[in-house]
Amino acid sequence: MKKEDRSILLRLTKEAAPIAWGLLLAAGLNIASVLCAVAAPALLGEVIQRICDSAVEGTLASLSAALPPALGLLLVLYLADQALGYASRILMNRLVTSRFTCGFRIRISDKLRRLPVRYLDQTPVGEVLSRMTGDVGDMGSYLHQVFDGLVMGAFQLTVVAAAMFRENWLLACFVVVLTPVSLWISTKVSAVCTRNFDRMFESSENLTAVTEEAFSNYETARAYGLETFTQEKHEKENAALADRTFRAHFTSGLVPPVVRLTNAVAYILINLLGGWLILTHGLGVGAVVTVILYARQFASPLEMLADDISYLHWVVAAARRVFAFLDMDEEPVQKGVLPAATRGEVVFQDVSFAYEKDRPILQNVTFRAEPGQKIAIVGPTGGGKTTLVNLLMRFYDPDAGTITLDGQNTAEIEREAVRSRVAMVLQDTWLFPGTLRENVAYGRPDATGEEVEAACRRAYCHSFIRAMPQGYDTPIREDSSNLSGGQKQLLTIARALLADRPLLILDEATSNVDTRTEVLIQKAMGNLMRGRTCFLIAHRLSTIVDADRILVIDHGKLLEQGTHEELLARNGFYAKLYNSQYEE
Amino acid sequence: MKAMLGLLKPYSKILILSSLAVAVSGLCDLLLPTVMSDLLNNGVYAEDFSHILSGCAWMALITCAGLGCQVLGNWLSTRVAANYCADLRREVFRRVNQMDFETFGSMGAAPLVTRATRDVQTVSWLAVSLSDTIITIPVLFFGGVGLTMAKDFLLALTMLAFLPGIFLLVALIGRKIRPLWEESDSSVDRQNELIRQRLRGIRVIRAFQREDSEHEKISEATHTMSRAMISANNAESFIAPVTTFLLNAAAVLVVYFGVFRVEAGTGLTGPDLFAVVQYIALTSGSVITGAFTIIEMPHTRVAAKRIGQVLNAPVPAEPAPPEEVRLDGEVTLDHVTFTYPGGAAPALEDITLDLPAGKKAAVIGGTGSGKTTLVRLLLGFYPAGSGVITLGGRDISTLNRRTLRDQLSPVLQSAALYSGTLRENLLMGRPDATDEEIWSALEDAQAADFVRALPEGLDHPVKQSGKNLSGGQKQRLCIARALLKDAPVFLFDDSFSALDFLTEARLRSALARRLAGRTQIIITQRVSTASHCDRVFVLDGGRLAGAGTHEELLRTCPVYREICASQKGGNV
Repeated sequence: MKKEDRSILLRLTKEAAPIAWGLLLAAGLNIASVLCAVAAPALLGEVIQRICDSAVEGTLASLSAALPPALGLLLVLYLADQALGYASRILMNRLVTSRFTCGFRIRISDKLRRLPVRYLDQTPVGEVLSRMTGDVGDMGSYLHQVFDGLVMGAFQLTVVAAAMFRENWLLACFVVVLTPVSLWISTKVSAVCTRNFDRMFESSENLTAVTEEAFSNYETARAYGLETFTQEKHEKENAALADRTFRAHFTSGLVPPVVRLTNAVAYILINLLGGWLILTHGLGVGAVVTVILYARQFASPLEMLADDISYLHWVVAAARRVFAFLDMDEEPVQKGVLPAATRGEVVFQDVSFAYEKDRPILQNVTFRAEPGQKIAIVGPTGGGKTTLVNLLMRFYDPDAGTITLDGQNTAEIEREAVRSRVAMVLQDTWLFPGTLRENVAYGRPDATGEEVEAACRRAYCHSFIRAMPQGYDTPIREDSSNLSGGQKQLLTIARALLADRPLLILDEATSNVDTRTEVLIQKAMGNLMRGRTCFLIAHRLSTIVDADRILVIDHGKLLEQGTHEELLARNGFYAKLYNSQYEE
Repeated sequence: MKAMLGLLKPYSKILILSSLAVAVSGLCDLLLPTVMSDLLNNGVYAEDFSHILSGCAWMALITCAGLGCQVLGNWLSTRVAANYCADLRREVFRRVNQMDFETFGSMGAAPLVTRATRDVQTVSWLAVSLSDTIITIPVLFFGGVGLTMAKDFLLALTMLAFLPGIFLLVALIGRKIRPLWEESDSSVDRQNELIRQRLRGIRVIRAFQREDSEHEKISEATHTMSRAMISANNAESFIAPVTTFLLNAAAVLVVYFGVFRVEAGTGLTGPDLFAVVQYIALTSGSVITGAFTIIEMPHTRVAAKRIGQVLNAPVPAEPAPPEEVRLDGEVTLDHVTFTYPGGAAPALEDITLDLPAGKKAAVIGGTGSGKTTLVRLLLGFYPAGSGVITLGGRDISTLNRRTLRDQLSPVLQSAALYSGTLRENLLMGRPDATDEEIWSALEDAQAADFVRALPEGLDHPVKQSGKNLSGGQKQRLCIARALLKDAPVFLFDDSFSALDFLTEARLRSALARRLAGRTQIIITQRVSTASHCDRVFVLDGGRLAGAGTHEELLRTCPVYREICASQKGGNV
């Protein structure tokens, strides 16, 4: 094992320190259970021996009186073995799940609070989810393995081996030598299995991808008569998957025969050797019986051990990913504060920014928004409009230049303080599965019922909310299918109205609403914009024309700024954009 | 169910062979203790070493036979399972490709993907392991009982009493566990959903400083999840100790009764007793596996039912054989009303319109106004509920669907591309198009510039559903594909929405040149797009609210005026 892997395992083990006592208790229970398990075959062997002896000696009559206490004890041993084992298992299970893995999951969630938006933008959701579920789960099974598998397995092996040697050293030698050979062979087979299964899963993913593509493009497939095309594409992956599935499952099916073969060899040898020892060295039949039973007890932890060791690299990989996540750089904290009253004057001075080095998104952007002004930002998609919002909200910080709010450089002010001065209405109407009231009050959780209602009235949501079965307490479904696109937009406007902040960022949705709701949205936005410094990423001409100042942004440059009339008069990019819709 | 079993039928002989092989290998296992007891009885006690040797030779032989059978059984049954699974998957896929849109819509694309992949997998593997168990378990069970019977009648009865008990117990506990696991799974889903929501809403959450409460929510869900996992795990950990203990108890009981039998002088010996103890252990292994297979059955029944629905879905009949014609592009609708299956209100109601060949029409209206439904009816995805749609003077319900779709060059809203190369995707429009023709289509679709900038050009690899292309790029490629198909009627369903005004203007003038003489139906939400068309049809709530030119509608149609007002503002 590599040094780095060892240090990860060490760190993982240290993380288990808080539950160390519980784990020790579980280990103690387990040890007791193993001791019971090891005592039982000796006792059973002895019983069989006595039966054989008395048959030879002709003292059978006394047996039925003498044996029940021994058999009773045997039953108690079996019961104790299972009961103690079960107790240890559920104790482990509780400790690992409720303390160890649960703790990691909460720490990951906690970490999300302080990670920069940049990281979250670049990371697919699925990745965070697999940190949280799969990876942490693997880390939890490490403890199960270390204690159940490795420590207990090793303990059981030692005890069983010792007990076997006590019975007969020669027979014991054979078992102890043979079992690792079987182990070695089955590990080799397992390695082939793992490779085959990986290839099978890869094939299976390809097949799902092809199926998904075919079914989600169903209409196009029909319109262009692509049925045969998709079926052939599917069949290619289907045949590959069938082949790889067979290989994977067949090789994994070879493990039990390998184990069985060595078990059988051991069994035969014990019989052969045992028979010879009985004849020549006066060994008892009971000893042979006991060793046969022990051989089985000896094989099972070894099999598990092999699995556990091969599983260990999964655990290390999972732990490495989780630790890397937890160790990630967090957003630096600034101490600056803002005065309670904000006028809402925003100045961008020579601001430059790039998401990736060498691919500048904004270059030397300079403009000024007076308190209460409406600033419309227009330009082709990908030109840098949303980036302005990202910088203003301090989701990202500029590479050069400064952004000031009421004369204070925002880069020196606490992020939360800057954000608390701005309300946002984004295209992507994010609502969470909670009640309508909770959603509207998201920016001001302490708002009273009247305040929520007042905001909803001004955002034209009140009437449709009241028409819903549970009114303001109607829960939003997980996929928000009980709301139309327009209603969602109105709700986000109500949310911003209630939050009542001196600055407003409004990213207009590209129309996906019916005409009547559209009119309501326009009116609601009018209410929302009143008295605030507004930054509008505008798609509707009416909004643009009404703005106090229009910023035309393309390819990261601020090409033009001014009012609608001024820009038309300039006959530049904006005029071209504006006139384009009247050209044939 | 019948259809699924039908697919399994060709494999029935191999399946029987494989289960027999598995059963024989199990019996071989049982024979080892038999030989052992004989070896001890007649070799050791008779002090006959040659008997010991021959006993061991028998054991070796039996082991080899058992192993051979096991490997053979494994080879056969995995082959069958893998092939059967592939057959079933192929069949499900083929059926989905044939089903009508009504059925497709009612099942949904994502659930159908699950049916065609995961469900098939679950069902086919269970079918194979079940057919294995059906033969294997009885053989082993009666084999074990029979061998015991040969040793002693009373001990066989003891065994008969215990094994079914263990089987039932495992089945019962298993049934209890499943709901616990389901609860645990759904608590994991819930937690995942919360994280997904949180990451998606990260900007809103930070803007409103609600990170703390979001974290609180997730912590709570994590605790709930832990509790659910613990109860499921605890219940599952219960099976092994209980069954193991019962098996051991059976062994003790066998020895106890055995002693009386030995005493009674039935000829039973100590080694025989030990052999019976081993029979119990060996037989019970397969019994427990069988019980688990049976626990899985109800779970699989859901999957089987879902697959059955696909396999039994009706295949729509064709009204006529396909014909090689190119109709002229006149499109008319006569009192067409259409309601989606299960829909409360009609999506289109009493629509009458006509569009002469070679004209350009816009259909405008908000979401839910019925625009896309109109496209679906024209493409013959759904039959018109009442009324008649004609294309080139022919009632489309009397046309073969292939013939109908040959008359249409659609660009659908979803901008569907397939994994493969750009060229492959474009050739779907016309398989025999030359590179020159492709480039000219790309040029007019305003896609030539970005394709040229790609290092591999037309051979640029497209990822699944075009994930590696932007929305605007996909739309332009789909337009190029439709241009290559060059049918008499072009349908553009909201196909310019991801293009900026400037690109749309260039595209519009290129299309005006290229598509002269073709009928164009442009579904749009933008007045600026509609205003350039020969005719504009205004849809509102499934009804035709107005028809005419842009100027006429401004005068006569209040809905159209409203749309204009909302998009342009009062002062333009």
